[in-house]
Amino acid sequence: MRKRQMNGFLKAGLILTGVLLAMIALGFFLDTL
Amino acid sequence: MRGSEKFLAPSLRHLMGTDNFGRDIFSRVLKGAGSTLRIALGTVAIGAVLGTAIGALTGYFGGAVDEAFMRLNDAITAFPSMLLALVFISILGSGSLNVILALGIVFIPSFARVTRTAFASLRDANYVKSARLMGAGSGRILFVHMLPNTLQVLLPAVTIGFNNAVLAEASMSYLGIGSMSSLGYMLSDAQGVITSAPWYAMGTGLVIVLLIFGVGLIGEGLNRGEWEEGV
Repeated sequence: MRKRQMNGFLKAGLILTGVLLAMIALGFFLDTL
Repeated sequence: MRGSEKFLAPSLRHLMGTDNFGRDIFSRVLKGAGSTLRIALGTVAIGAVLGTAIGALTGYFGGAVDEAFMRLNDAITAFPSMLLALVFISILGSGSLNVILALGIVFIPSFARVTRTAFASLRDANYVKSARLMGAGSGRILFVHMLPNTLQVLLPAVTIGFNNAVLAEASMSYLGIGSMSSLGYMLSDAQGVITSAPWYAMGTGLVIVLLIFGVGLIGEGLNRGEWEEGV
């Protein structure tokens, strides 16, 4: 079976981008209030 | 927004300080990053979809059409991309939708080139020949058999394209062409007060850097790691 494993770069990138996207989404959400 | 709170330094109340109208820079950055992101995603979507389609067709079929498209590609690449985008903007008119269109068109050649190389190298692979012998049509071979095998080249190219699109959008709005709420416009606003209120430029710049850095890391992660294992 093919072994799928995230490497450190991918993990760090996903976390950093995820945090930024969450902040942007929060900005949009607060904007609509 | 309060007139009495102009140019306040970063604090718990205003995480990135305030600007010349007393507006909270953190809120503006969140809003600006949203519009920068929207334009960058639109740009990459246009560039990647059209670029991949053109690159796949020319790479797979080769011949005169390939030559013609690649020379056209060379001609477009020879222009500085920013200048070309400005030309398109002057034809289409300003507005964020037109910025997406202009930048998208400018981004097509880079995607087409990467895709063409990947498809040309797979054209004579055994599984492609087998599919052809089984009677599969060109469309099926291209997008069902070959496309999944080029993803390891295309996905990092998409992340690099996204980063370039963020920078291009920021440059466009810095010049006053793109969206008025985007990060580039804020940077040009911050430029005048960089000595008295450096947090304005720093907060805005930091978000651009982090956005590019994060997506760059994803691209790097896709480029190595997962694909090398177990194939």
